[in-house]
Amino acid sequence: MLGERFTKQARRAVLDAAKEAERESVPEVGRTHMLLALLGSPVLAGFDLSREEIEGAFRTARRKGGLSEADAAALRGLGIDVDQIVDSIERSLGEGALATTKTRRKRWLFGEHRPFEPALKKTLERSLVEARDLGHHYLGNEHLVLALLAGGGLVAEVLEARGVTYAEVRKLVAAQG
Amino acid sequence: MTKATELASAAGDQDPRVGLRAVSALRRLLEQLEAVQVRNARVRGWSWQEIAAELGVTRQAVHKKHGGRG
Repeated sequence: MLGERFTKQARRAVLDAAKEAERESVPEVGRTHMLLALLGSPVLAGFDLSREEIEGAFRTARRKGGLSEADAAALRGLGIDVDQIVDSIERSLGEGALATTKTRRKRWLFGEHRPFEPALKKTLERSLVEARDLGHHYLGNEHLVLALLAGGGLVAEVLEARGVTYAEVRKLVAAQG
Repeated sequence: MTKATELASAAGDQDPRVGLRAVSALRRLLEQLEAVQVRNARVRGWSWQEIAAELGVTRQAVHKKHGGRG
């Protein structure tokens, strides 16, 4: 089974991700929570990442309905100002109106932990592929980090903006053997 | 006029990545806006039928997508 190949640290990280979601009081565990849980991983130690800064970037994106800087830039190219839309929605419906997440109460009834977002499930699957490609017979935090970067979107963008790229991390992990 | 030209140039950008990224971002923004507006309408006591009529979709469609929370 999937869980058996996880190292103790990787298991810990998945549990910590669930705690991050709990802290934010959001109903599902997502990729942003996974990254926050992985920030202390040895593979990221050389990058000087600030938790506050990353949390701030996620908060900003959340306020814009989950859109990243690159998304906002793409929309600007179409003549759409996301900030203006957020402002106007918040003026009529209150601060953080676009940041609200859907609740999935039905699934709450089962299992003791919060459900994972589909995107995070995909990331966990991808981490197995990363481990396999490296010829590793275990699944560690480094494979989870690689999977987050490979998945693109907000989380990868926030990391890439701080010099943490897939190629760079992959090189580091491969060098460790 | 200039705005329309700008829009046309962005939409017809040579690099498909730019255009596709914008479409994807716009779709996500739209979904979020819809969810917010539907929730607001429900809070204000609108029926699914009324919301569906404004959105131009069937009552079943809007209820299936946004319902489940009363």
